[in-house]
Amino acid sequence: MSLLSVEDLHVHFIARGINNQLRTAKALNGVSFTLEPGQVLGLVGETGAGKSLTALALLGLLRPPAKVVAGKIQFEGQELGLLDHPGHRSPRGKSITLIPQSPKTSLDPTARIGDQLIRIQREHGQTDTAKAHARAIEMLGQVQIPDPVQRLKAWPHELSGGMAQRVLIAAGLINSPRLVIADEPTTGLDLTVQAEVLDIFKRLVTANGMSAIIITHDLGIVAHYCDRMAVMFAGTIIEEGPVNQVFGAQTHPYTQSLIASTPKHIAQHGFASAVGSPPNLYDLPSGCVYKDRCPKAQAVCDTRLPTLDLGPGHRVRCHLPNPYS
Amino acid sequence: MNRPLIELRAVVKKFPADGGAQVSAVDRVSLSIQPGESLGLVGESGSGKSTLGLLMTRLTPVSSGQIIFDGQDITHLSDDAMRQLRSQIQMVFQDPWGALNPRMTVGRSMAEPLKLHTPLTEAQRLQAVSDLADRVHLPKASLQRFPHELSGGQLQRVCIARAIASKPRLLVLDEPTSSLDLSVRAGILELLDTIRKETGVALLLISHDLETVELMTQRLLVLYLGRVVEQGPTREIFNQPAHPYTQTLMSANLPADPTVVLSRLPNVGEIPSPLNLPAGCLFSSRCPLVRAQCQQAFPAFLILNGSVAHSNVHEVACNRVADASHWLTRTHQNS
Repeated sequence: MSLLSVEDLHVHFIARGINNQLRTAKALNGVSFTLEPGQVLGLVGETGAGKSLTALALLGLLRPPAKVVAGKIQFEGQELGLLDHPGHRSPRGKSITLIPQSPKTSLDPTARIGDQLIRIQREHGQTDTAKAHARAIEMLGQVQIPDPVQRLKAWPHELSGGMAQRVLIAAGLINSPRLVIADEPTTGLDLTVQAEVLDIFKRLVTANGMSAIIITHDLGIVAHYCDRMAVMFAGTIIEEGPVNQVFGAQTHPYTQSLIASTPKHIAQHGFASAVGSPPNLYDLPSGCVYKDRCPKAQAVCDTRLPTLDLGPGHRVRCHLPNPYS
Repeated sequence: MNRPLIELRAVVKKFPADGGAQVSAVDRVSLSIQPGESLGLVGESGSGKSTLGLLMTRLTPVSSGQIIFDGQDITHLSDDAMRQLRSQIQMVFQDPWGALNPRMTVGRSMAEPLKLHTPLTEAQRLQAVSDLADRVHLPKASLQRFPHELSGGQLQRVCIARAIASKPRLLVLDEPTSSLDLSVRAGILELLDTIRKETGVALLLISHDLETVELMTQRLLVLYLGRVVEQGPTREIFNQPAHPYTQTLMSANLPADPTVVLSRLPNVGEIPSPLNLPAGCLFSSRCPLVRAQCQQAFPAFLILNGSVAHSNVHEVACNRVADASHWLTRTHQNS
């Protein structure tokens, strides 16, 4: 049984435009994927592709004007409601946690980090304050914050970006979740700090047998810290598979263009042809969402997208995939 | 050897800090850029990269040192004289959303530098703007639009068009692609590369993205806490980074290719506060190879390769280079 399975998730933003007409932005258009226990999935795509939105939907945090129009989310075999209401018993927040981006704004500036780490545990059933306190110290140690006992008394503004990000990782893992979603966990951190933070994160996730979803636009992070990857474009996962296979085969033309845009690839093969503008979510084309930018697009791309199986766990949504080389 | 286009001699920039203390954001930096050359500037946040860009364009005054542009000392040039010179030194900033006037159409924004720096008539200016739009692959229709109606990549093209409108000889690019998506980024880099090849403009590329710098530049300067610790031909530094800091930095890079095996150097913690700098070599507080000698004085530069005369010198400020004991041991890890 998969730990997490998402089936045909559709999220629309419905709001009135300046002419008072209702406008619908189709932000997620049939997102489907599964995650097995112990796996780390990288979710990549450009701005507006729906990466963070998928995470919010998993956590039940979408609020109007976002609306889940269709879809099914199953976690450990149990179906999750598409919206959570306060007071509902739900694995969200305890078994599924989020490590948000921008560490400096995600901590409560008016509480010491120790109190925040204890509050998170109390919220999810740990009533013994002494135990929660000990657990907070243990977690700070695990994310390699020096002198954790003293650091519990620190205020968020006293932490550097890298330290604050470690505290958020500690907060995300403190209740021993089964699935942790890290949304751009290292954006804005320096290269050397990024490497340390990712090493700590990966080690803790693996050691505790958790699964993780890393949302990022950095293919380097996906290549070296994820087992599987899903490439999103205009609210659709257009390719999903084991990292080595997706990078190796580059079956979908969009995956290929993403990899061709990395400086290393440009240095070896020169600049690829120019890309078009981002898709208009208010007016998506019928058939393939990528066809307006795809160099291979043909008449067949106007028809409903097929899902092709390319081997174990490797799927691509394309009429004209690149042949496997 | 050609006369350098721009030369910095022991440039220092100090900012006031609490309690009358001073922070040296840039300390005794000397560098030169040849006409048509592209120089990369890398370092962590707080290393003084952006400040150096501002100093070079004289957008902020130096505390001491000299800036020489095309043989002329411009360190203390008057504002009037500097305004004349601005047509030759232009800058592109990181955040294209903040760099354009939101109340001007993109076309008008692009005409501004032409108004300032060229004697063109109104009609000629319109033509020039339209040519510029072609040059940076901006659709003509977007000239009538306002900045909020364009995407980040298009806005950065507008900023580049503005910067090259006055046919500058030096373009300072402060993280020009870091706020853009990967595929959009490639388009901007291609544009900058074409412009450099066709117009012979010299580039200073400030970036924390090592792979972008490797792709775009011929020479590289590694900055740490405001001081240059290593400089030389880009390819040489990427192949054999000599300073322990450069080695650490390069080993933290994550190439977008799962088949590359990472060879990691020991973790070194975070950059110290510029208010409380370590004595001697600035990296001594984090360096795994530190010796007593390193904490006494900032190490002298040692030439590894090339010569100053041919502006291909590869030099490094590290005590351990002298007896070739500066290599850090790598731990191979399979991720």
